[in-house]
Amino acid sequence: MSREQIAIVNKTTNGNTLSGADGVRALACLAVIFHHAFQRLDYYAQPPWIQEIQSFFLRGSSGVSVFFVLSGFLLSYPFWKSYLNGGAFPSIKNYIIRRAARIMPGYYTAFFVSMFLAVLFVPNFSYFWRRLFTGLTFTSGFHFSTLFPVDWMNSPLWSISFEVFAYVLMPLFMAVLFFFTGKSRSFGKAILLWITALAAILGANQLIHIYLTPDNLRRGWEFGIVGGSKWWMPNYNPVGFFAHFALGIIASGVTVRLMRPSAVVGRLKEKGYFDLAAVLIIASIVFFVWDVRNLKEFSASFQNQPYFFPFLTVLVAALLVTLAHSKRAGLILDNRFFRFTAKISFGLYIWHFVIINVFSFYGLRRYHNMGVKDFPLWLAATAVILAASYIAAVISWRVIEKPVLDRTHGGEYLRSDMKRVMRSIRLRPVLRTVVLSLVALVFLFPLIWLFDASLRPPLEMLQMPPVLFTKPIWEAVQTYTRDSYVASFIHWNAGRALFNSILVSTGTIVLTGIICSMCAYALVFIRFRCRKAFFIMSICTMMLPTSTLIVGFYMVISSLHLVNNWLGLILPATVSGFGVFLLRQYFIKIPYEVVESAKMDGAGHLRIWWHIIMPLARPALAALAIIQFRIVWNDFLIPMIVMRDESLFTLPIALTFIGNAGAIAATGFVTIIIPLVLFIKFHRQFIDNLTVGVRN
Amino acid sequence: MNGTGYSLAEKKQNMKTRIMFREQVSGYFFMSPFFIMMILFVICTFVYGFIVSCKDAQGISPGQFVGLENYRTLVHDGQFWQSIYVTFKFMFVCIITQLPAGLILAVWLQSIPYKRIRGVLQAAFFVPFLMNTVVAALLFRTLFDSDTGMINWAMGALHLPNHIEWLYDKSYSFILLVLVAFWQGIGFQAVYFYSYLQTIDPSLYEAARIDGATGRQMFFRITIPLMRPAVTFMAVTSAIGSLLVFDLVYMLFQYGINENVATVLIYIYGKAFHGDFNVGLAAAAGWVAFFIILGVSLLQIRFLGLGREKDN
Repeated sequence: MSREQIAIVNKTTNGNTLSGADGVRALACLAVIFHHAFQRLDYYAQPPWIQEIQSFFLRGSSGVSVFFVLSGFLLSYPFWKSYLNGGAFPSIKNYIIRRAARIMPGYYTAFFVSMFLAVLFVPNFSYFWRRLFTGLTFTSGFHFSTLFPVDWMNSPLWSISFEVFAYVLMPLFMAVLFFFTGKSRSFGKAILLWITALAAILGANQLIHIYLTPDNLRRGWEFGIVGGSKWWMPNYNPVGFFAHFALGIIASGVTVRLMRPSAVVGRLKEKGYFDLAAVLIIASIVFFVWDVRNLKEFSASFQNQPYFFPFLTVLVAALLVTLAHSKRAGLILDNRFFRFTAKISFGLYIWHFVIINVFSFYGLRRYHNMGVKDFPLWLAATAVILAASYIAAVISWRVIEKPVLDRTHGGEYLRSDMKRVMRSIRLRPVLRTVVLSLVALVFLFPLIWLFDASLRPPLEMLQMPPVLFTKPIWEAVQTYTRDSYVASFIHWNAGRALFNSILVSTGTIVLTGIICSMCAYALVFIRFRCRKAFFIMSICTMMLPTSTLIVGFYMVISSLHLVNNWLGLILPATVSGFGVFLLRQYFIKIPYEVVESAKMDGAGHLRIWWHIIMPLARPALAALAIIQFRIVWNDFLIPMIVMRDESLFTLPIALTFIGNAGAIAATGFVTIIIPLVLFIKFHRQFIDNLTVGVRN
Repeated sequence: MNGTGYSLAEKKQNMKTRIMFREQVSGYFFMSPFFIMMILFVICTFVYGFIVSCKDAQGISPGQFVGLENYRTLVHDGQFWQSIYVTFKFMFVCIITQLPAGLILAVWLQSIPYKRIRGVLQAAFFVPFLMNTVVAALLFRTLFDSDTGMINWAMGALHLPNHIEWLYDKSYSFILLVLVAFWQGIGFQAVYFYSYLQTIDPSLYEAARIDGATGRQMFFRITIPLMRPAVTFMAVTSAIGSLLVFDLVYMLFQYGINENVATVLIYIYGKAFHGDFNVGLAAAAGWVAFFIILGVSLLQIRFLGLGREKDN
């Protein structure tokens, strides 16, 4: 196959050259969305004329069948073209890559997101592992327990596995066609083969109906979604749906056959007979759907197939043929809006139902099945959903689908390797950002939960599943009380502990600053003997695992009478080798002339230290203060040993004595919020100072 | 010549020694607060610790001098060696899990092109590190509670075993401990590595890219070697940190510390201030642990070559 041919194939499989296909795709997609939207409208509360319209639009579910016909039509097109023009069997590798690139990124993203939401929001989410596995391998359509891979969170995903099954079957039949006809190809043989294939499919479908109909145990929509899919099951099955697909394939063959230069077809085209036929078919589709609008599910069809197979299916297939040869009708259908909709139709299909669900959860709670009585309200809500779906689909197209498609598109043949590398580099940051944001959310979750728990009435706190997930945020927030905070401050003395903690940390910060800076000053600016030895000694305290020696430490504290004394906490914390080190590194950078000139003016060391060096070293002192604060604020072992009197407990110790879950959460939140606020204020300095130890 | 009898040179010399002397005095004066504190709270702790370790002190009774009897008991105490083993296992697992994850997180953070998001993410990962360990432990206690905890509920929702006794089961409690340590420690490491990554010259990557190096090659050939000092520093500090873990274990498993998570500090604290109040034995254990941990960290520094880096 030449480069040009492949380019054409790629274009046609995009649906750009067969006129009308985009329009039909857009209409089908909108029909499905309206089907789901109209489900939310309460039928019995409407005036008759709206009821009629609603029943008509509820038949929009047949858009799914249209998708199958369209897929068969477009995907078999290159095969037919190659067959009738005497070409070779199209590259199957290319076909697989293109299909995978088209389906997988969007589907997997939607699958994972809706799976996540389903686990959170669907009560009694069953068959998790089975659904996960089959959902990932596109095999969910083979059993009723997994037909809806993510339960009702994103029901439309059921059709993806059916579609993938059809993707597999189509080239197999085509290979048979290419293999058996050999050199002597004819249109008649091909159509014969496909009609035989269609018959075989329907035969197989009949066998499935006979042998694989599920039992009647818990079968039906009243038993939830698994019961519902059990009810659907023999009628909806991957084999049966290939019949819809096959009709599209046959239509594609007819279309290619009609493309041959021929006087008759040319004349018909010129005179607009195809346009006329297209209009007539559209009218009959509308009429047909209107006519069957009130019929039961699976009626007006062959073998109880859904979506009025084969009547509607044949009409759609014929419509595609006529549109492809029409002069105007195809162009009118392919208007800008429909082309745009068709481009993002996959995104619309896989995201709109999630949006409906999230909207019914967080927006209009009544927006469930048959839930909304008020028609204008329903209209407004549907408009919101439609807009949100379009936005989601555009994002999905731009960020997820298109980048991957572009890479595989001509990637194999048309773009140079360099460009591909460039693209892969640009895609990765987006993915990484998404992944990291999710991980960050997981990391922050305990904090969010703590905040939530501190405000929740204790009874609700232990409720599983958590109230935070089962209600929209503003409803979950309604039960918030400050009871836990009141309890922790009044009954559990959290205020006293907070005061103690603040006192100890302030004392430590001030004293450490003074003591360590004096030491560092001597090490840098005063020439005295054994300077180096002192320096090494002070650094060594950084390394020693002194907290193993708590017994000796307690002896020292008690013999100095520092038990139950503020100084017992403050003084030991001032021995910070790290502080000396940090300040020394900073002092070294101060030019010695500063000290020299101050000396010339007759200032003593004490003066120079306090009036010149300390103000200069403010950033380093601030860093030390932050580090010391963190250590002292969070320290647990030493306060536990030193402070034995309940009124002297610092926050971490006081926390261990609180016996009420709500009060623990409230006190805990108080304990962590102060460092957090400080961090948000000073985080630049803090992070900059982290590297001091290594950079020097 | 003036009449004082000293030559100018002598006077100058005298002045100089006087100044020298004053320098010496003020030097020691400035050092003194720090070193007094150090003698009081470090040296005295050592001395007292050693003295007590040689006595059979029980609770508040000072006890008799028994020589190295406590050390002998300790050597034969299986519980003590179990706690040493647990401590080192914990350190090892922490380093193995946290260092690579922190490094990858830092590299990923750096590769995010949106500055604002990067800042927010950095802060988000850092928050657990700022969180009080006691609060974190209590928080995870509630989340991992076997009956009312959210984790077991979520696992149930995923059709996984959901009756795990995270807080009491021997093997699961160690996993939980590692998990919480990971949650708390990773952000600090990532932010630290990230700020160190900023010091690497971007032209190195540019050159490598022109030479056709892949992302992976660049990571292993440029990033890792240049990050070596930071990795070493982090390995040593987080090793010491995890060897000295106390509050996390103490609070996480409040009422039932089983031997699989009882670290050496838990052992010492339990001996000294809980149960048998065997202060002498606790002091002896403290000294043994002190030297083991110090030795390991010195070995680590030697082995990983932090000292070498400093000499240069």
